[in-house]
Amino acid sequence: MADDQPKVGSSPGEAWANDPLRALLAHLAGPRARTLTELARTIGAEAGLVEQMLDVLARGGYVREIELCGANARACAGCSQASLCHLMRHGRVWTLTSKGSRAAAAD
Amino acid sequence: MNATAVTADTAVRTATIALVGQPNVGKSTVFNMLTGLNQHVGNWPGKTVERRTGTFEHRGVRVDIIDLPGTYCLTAASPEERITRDYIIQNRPDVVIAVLNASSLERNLYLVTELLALPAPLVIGLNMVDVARDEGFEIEPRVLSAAIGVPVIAMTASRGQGVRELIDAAVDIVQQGPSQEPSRPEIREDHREVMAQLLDLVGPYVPAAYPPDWITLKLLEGDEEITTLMRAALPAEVQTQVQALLRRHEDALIAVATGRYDWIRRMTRAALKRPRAGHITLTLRLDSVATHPFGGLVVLAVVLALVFGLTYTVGAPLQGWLADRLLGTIAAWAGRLLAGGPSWLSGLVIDGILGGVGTVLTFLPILVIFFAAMGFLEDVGYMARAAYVMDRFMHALGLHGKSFIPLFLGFGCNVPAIMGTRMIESARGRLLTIMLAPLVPCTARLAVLTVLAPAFFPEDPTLATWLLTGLPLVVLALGGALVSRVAIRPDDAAFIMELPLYHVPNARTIAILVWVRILAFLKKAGTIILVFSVFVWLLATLPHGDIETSYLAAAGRFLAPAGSLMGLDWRLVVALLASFIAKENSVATLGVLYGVGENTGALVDVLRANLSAASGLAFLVAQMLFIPCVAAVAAVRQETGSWRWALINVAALAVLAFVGGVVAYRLALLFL
Repeated sequence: MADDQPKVGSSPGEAWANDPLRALLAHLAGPRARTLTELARTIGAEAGLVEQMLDVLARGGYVREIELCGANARACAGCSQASLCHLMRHGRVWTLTSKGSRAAAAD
Repeated sequence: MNATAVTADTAVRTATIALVGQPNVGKSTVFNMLTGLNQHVGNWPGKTVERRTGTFEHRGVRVDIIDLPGTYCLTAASPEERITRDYIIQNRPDVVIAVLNASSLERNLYLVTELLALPAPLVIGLNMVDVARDEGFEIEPRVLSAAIGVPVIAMTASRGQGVRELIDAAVDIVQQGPSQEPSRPEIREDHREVMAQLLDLVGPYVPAAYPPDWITLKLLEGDEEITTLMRAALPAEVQTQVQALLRRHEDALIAVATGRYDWIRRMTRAALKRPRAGHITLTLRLDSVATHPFGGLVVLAVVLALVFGLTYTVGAPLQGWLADRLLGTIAAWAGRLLAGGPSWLSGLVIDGILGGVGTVLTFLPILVIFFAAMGFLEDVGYMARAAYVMDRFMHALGLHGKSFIPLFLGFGCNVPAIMGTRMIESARGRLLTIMLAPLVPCTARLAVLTVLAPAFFPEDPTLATWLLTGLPLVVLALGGALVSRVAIRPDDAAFIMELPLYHVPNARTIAILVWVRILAFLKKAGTIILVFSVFVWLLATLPHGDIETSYLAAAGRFLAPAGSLMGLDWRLVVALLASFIAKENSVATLGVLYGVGENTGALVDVLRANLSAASGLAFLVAQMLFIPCVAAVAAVRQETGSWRWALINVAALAVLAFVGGVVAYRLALLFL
């Protein structure tokens, strides 16, 4: 879909050569959820590197990792099954912060 | 430097080597192979992080080797990162060996970009080349070595391959002296001037052990530890200038990281050939179907149908046996035991406790099968795919990104789903999600549905359960689309999900998942449901001991006109209302009101004999759309900060359940 396309580097090589972090922010500003594998293919890097890029963006306050489930997750406070969370294989989830939204909009 | 003077090959007698790498790259395997029994394990001073040191001799050099903690990068975010970078800076080992996972080369090279900025010669051990080859990667170590300007040794440490060559390369550096001029990453071009300015400002004040370039980079990255260090070292006037410069370039972290990614891209351009398009892993192959926008929904529907089918095929006969034989035998035994006592006591035990909480407990086999099936899906890695597919579905209907994560939590329990909306920054999006969360069928609601569906749809309970599970989700999506267009417009921010690799499920993990959930259910049965069963029995017995003239019947008949539009008698209306305390109370209430303990028959049989399929369908539809339990309503009150929204939510869901029940009943009368 046209509205889902990032503004920076649409082709894999181009996205990485230009600015992979800005390309990631542009993808996150879109309305649809994406998987790491999907993004890695779009940017032209391996999924592990994209995960590392998200950690860098999180360190800069551009994205936030969401605690899906776990003893420390606020959402699970008081849940009788919180102790099971470490057994559940949810995978990591990130979302854009206000700072990230501003940065994506500025591009 | 620890090495003594160097003149020729054999002049050096001792050296220190540090092993660095990400977790699980085989670093410890290399360490163990080199040191054998000559190793010492302790803790880093003041830390709970393990410190492993050892010694070995190679080509006449006595090597002290230290296995630094596994780390992905060298920020100050974790003790492992701080220990690794502080050790290299303060102790200046003769050689740093970076052990990399060849099958994840690009990510592993990020650590190398940081190591190259530190004052120590580097050797790269490219481990797991066999795994990389199996995954379709082709890596040229010599090309990579030429590009970076440091030795790169291909290894398969688990088989001992390449370890000797790795140490040869390190000892070469020790004996011949460090003469590396590696290619180092540079900050993105538009920030080079800023970096030069900052270096000019801080350079004269950098403490002796630290490389000024590295300090400058860390300040631009916003590294808290280095910022504190330099705040103490800089004169006030310079500090003000530095702060002003950093404030003007608060996006410098992106520039630094982008420079590193650009370096990784250039280094791997010629040295790394990715898997061909035809080389698709099993996970990718499965995901091409499981996460497909349409195919994924079909897979999800089939998976749910299989779960319900399995639950009924295996669990229902066991439940029937428990209800007929066990509960019946206990009720008969209790009747004999209490025959000489007051009638209220046998009524309380047989009709109240056994009829209520006893009936709920007979459904344990169904819940065990259901929880085991869901545990299997979680452990195999499918549930994350289900979440991803559902997000796409909801997006198509107008519900966006961040709402889905809390809604997904609602399948376990609505309370964490409502609390989880705190992650949504937009107040409107948050409110919309809170209002919709109670429509997600929680485990308790699903358990009630799973238990009662066979009573009204004996021919095909699987299909009925499947359709009734989908009903609130469709209503949720349609309601969300409508509300988001008319009243509350949520934000559009989406999210990125890491989908875990599929793996063979672990029986122990699934057993723990089932055990904890069953324990939680038993706890509820022994407390809330038990008390409520006794309460319902009391109201159904007082004042004359006849249910038809009881207080509960009077209250139920008051509501009967509304219930009659849905084809529900007063007992079903009361059972529906009872679910407000806890969803399972519906089953317990039906058990008490239909005298299951007294009749010594299974609840499903009693209901089937007393109610039509149309009434049963209306009851289940209303149950699936009804207001959530009291804990969830309290959570709505807490998270919206007002009783107004909590009451609007309760009223809206009550109306929705009523309308849904009426429509279902009328349609069922026409078609069933």
